[in-house]
Amino acid sequence: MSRAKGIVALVVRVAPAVCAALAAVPAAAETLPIEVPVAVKGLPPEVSEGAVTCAVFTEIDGQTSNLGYGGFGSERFPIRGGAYQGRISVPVALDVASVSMLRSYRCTLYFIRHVNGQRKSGAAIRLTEPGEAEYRDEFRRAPGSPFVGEAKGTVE
Amino acid sequence: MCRTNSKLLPAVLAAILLAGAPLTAGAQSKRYAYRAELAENAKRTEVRAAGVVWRCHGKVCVAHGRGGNVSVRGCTELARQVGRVVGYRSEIKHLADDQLAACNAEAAAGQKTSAPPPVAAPAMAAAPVRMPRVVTEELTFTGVHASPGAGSQ
Repeated sequence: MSRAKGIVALVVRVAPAVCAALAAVPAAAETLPIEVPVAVKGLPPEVSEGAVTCAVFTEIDGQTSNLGYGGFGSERFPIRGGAYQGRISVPVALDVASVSMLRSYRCTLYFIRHVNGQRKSGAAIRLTEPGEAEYRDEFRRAPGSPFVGEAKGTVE
Repeated sequence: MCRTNSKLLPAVLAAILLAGAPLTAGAQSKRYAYRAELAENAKRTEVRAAGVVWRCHGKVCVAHGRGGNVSVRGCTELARQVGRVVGYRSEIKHLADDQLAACNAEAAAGQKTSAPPPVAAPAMAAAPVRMPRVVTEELTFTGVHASPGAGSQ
């Protein structure tokens, strides 16, 4: 009986140290939120979700060249009745030591559709641009309507 | 007064550390086939990425591994060695387009950035860093389908 008590006492004594050791994982990466206004409508009914992905760069021209990749984040939003309007906050997990190193960003709009139980996503710029290999007629744009499938800019 | 039996210490520690092992081991034990499709012919025929060995022929790489999970990080490791990845899946999971874009962006960035990131001088280490506020232009699309009810937030 005293041996059992000894084991219990030992566990109580060592448990905090063991838990502390198990919890000693690397600190979570710094996150930069990027606010992305979104206004989409007239989408085909099988599109039930959208997503905005953002990448950040330590070079000014990284937004077009991918030079100085510094992190990535993605956030989904619901699409009801083929439309959504709102502002998405995309949490970008940084792969660089400090947010002060960032110089530019690129955010891309994606449409997610469920077809025969399968989830398929595609970049709006590839699904809606007639010259693109992935162009789909059901994503045809309304004549004369504005279209912005990617947003690029500088981090200041 | 009970005294601690020091001979029991290793056993108790092992029991605590391994308490959750059977569950995770059971879930991760099954092996699955993995397949990656490339934009161009693979630069190498056999590489190690995502913890498994991939064998590549032409524009396809295949591997076998436990768990069936796929990750952007694993895809990036592969893309850095064999080239741009356009499909990355196991028998049960796959990367979506947005995740593939991240995979290739990170792989391309890793190959282009050879210089290490600058290191702050010790005297500047404690300086607070202002979190920039980034608001992009509006992403917008108007299709030709009628919208019976617009969802908004």
